[in-house]
Amino acid sequence: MLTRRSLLRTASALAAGSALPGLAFAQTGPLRLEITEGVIEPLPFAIPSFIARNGGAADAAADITRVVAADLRGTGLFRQIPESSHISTVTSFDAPIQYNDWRAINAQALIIGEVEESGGRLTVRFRLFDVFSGQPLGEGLQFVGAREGWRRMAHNVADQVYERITGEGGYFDTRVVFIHEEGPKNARLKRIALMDYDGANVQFLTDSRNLVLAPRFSPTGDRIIYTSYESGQPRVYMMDVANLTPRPLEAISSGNMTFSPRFTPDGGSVVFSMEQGGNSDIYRVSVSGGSRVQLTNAPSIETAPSFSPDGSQMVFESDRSGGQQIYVMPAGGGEPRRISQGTGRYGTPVWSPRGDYIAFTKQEAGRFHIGVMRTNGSEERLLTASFLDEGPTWAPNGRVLMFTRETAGADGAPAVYSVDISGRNLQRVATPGMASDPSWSPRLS
Amino acid sequence: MRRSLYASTAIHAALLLWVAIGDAFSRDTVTPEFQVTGVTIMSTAEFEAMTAGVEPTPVAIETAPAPRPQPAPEPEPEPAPEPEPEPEPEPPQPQPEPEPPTPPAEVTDTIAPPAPPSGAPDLPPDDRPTARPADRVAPLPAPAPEEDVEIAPEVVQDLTEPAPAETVTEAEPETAPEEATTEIVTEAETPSGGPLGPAASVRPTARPNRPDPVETAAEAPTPTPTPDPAPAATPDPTPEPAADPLADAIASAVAEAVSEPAPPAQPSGPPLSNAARDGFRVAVSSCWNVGSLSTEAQGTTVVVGFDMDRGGRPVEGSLNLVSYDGGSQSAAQQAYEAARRAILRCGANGYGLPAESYDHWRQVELIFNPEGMRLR
Repeated sequence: MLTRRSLLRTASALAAGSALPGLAFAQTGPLRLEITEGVIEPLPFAIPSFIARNGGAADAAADITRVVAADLRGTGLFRQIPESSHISTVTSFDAPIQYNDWRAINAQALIIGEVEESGGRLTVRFRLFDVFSGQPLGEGLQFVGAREGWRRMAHNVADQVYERITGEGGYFDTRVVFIHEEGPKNARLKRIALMDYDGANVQFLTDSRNLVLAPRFSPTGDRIIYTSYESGQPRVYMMDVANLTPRPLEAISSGNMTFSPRFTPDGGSVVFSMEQGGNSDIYRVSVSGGSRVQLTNAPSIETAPSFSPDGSQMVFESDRSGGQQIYVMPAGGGEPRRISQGTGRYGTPVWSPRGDYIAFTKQEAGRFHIGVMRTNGSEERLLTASFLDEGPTWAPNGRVLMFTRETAGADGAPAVYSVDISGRNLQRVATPGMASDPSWSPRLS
Repeated sequence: MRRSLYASTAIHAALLLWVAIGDAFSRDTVTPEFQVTGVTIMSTAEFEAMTAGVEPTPVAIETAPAPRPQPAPEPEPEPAPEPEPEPEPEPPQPQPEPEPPTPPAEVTDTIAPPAPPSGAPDLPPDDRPTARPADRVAPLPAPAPEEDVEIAPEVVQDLTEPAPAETVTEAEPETAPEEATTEIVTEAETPSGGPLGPAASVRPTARPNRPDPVETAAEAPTPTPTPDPAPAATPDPTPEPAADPLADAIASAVAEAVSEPAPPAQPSGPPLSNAARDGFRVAVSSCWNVGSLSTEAQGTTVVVGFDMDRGGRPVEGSLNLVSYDGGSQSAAQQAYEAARRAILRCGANGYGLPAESYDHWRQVELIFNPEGMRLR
C-alpha cells in the first residue's frame, strides 16, 4: 500500500506539475493591443453611374447618381472617388463585384444602382458594399415613384447609405423652411420659403407684403407656424403646407404681441411668448383651441421656448438674472433652472431631437457663436464664430445644425449655413438669394 | 557544616564563572573571524543528523552551554522544545533510510574537506559511504546550513583558524546547485531530456477508451473492447491497463494532467518586441477612421478578434466582434465595421510582423477605444 500511495502521490504531483504550464499558457492567449488613436477623415466611396434599364431612364439614372453622391459628399463624412479613377465598369446590377478593383483605388464603400422607367414612374434599385470586407452592407432596396419625384428617391438612397455606414439616421429626404430676403438692408422684403435640405425645389409660401419671422415646422412636417406683422403687430399664424393657407391662431388672438412660436413634440400645442404691459412670458395653447396656460411668470423677458423630445421639459431664454441666459423648467410649469454658466449672453436655445444637446446662440466680446451644450449646461462647445451667427435648428438626426450667418457692413446679407456638431464641415446652403431663420423639418419618409 | 558547604560551592561557582568570563573576554576578538568557519561546522552537523539522527544541535551547544547547564535547571523546558522539532525530522530520516542516503552522500563528498574539525570524530563518513541512496536528498540539506551559521560563532573558537574554512564556504554554494541538478535529471528518467509537457501525452488517448466499454457493457453484454474483463481477441490495443487499478489510477492522473495542456500550444519563437507591437498598433491606427461613425458609435469600445496568416495578413473570414462596451448593439456594429475596415485595409499587404514570432501574433485581439477621439 505504501508503494501504491507513493505512486499515486507521484502521479498526482506529475499531474499538478504538468497542469502548471497549461495555466501559465492560458494567460498568454491572443496578442491583445489597444488602439486609442485613429483618424477622422472622409470615408472614400465609389458610385458608378446608375445603370439605365431602358432609354427613358437614362437621364434619371444620371441625375439620381449625381444627387446621391452630392448628398454623401455634403456631409463631410464621405469622399467620392471620381468615376475616371474606377477600374471596374459596372454593366449589370447583378454582376459580381470585383472587390480587388475597388480596393485598388481605396474605395471603402461601393454603391451600385439601376433605374428603370415604366409608365411615367421610376424604379430605383441600389446595393451597398463594404469593399474591404468583401460583402454587402445590408440588403439591396428599391424605390418606386413618380418621375418628378426622382430627387426624393435619390435622397432616400443616400439616407440608406448614410444610415448603414454611420449608424445614424439620414437627413437628406427633408425640407427646410426659411425666410427669403430681398432688397436693401434698410428695406428688406421677407417671404417664407420652403426648400429641400440641399437648397433645391424652393417654393415661396407667402408674398412679401407683410413682414414674416421665425417659421417653424410641426413635428409631422405638414404645418408651419410663424410670426407675421399682417395685422400691424407681431402675431402667430399657422399654415398647412398642403394648401398654403395662413390663418391666425384664434386661441392666441388677444390684441397683444405674440411671437417666437414653436410646436410641442406631439404637435398638439403651441408655445409662444406674449407681451403684456412691457413684460413677456411664455404661454401654451392647444392648436385645436382652448384657453392659454401661462408657463412663466417673471418681471423679465422670457422667450424662445423649445421642448425636450419627450415633452417633459422646456428650455427658454430669459434676462431675469440681468443678462440673457438659458433656463430649463418642467413643461407643465415650475421653477426654472439656469443652465448657461459662461460669460456672454445666451439665446435661442433649441433642444436636440435626440435629447442629448441644446443648441444656442452666444454673444460675447462683439462676436456671435453657434454652440451646443449638454442639457444640464455642461460640455459647452462653440461651433462657429462670426459677425452674426444666430438661430440654430437641428437636423432630424441631431448631428447637423443650420443657422443664419449675416455679414457685416452696409452690404451685409444673411445666408443659411450648416455645421456638424463636431464643428466640422461648415458650409453655406445653396439658396436663391438671401436667406435667414431656417427651420428643419422631420424626415419626410 | 552547611555554611561551609554553601561557602565552598559559592566560591567554586564564582571561580568557575570568573574562568568562564575571563575566557570569553580574552577571545572576543577571535569570535567574529570564526563565524565563517562555523558554516562548515554546521554542515558536518547535518551529516550527524542524517546518519545518527540524534543531535545536530549539540555541536553548537557543546562549548557555550557547557558552563550554563548547571545554573539552568530552569532552562530545561527550553531545550525541550528544541529537540521536539528536531526529532520530527529525525524519525522520518531513519525510516526512509534508503531515501536520505542518496543525496547526503553526494553532499558529504563536497563538504567533507571543511568538516574535519568537529564532524570528523562524530561521524563515520566511512560508514556512510552508502553511495547507493543518492536519489532525492538534495533539496533537504540546503535549508539546514542557514541555521548552523547563526549558532556557529562560539563553537568555532575551538577550531581556531583553519584555512580550509574559506574554501569550504565557497564549496557549499557550488555544491548545492550541482546536487539539485543531478537529482532532477534522475527524476526525468522516464521522459527524455526534452520539454516537460509532452512527455506523458500518450496515455491520455488510451484513457478515454475506458468509459465507452463500461457504458456499453451495462446495456449490451457484447462489448468486446473492454480491456480488463474481456481479454478476448480484441483487447490487443490496450495491453497495459489489463487489471491493474493502481496503473489505472496513475493513468487517470496523468491523463488529466496531459489533457489540460493539450489545447494551447506553447508559442514558439521570441516574443513580439515592443517596437513590433507599436508598429502594428500604429499601422492599424492609421486606417481606423472614426469620422464617419455616429456619435454613439464614437463612444463605443469594441474588441475585434482575428487570425493572421504567416505573411502578417489578417484572415478575412476570421474577424469577429469579441465584445463591446459603452454603446448600443447597433452602435457596436458600426464601430466594429469601422474597425474591421481598418484591419483589413491596412493589413492587405501584411503588417510586417517578425515571422519568427508568428506564434505570438497568430491570433490577435485589438481593442478599439475611441474615448480620446470622440466629442467631449
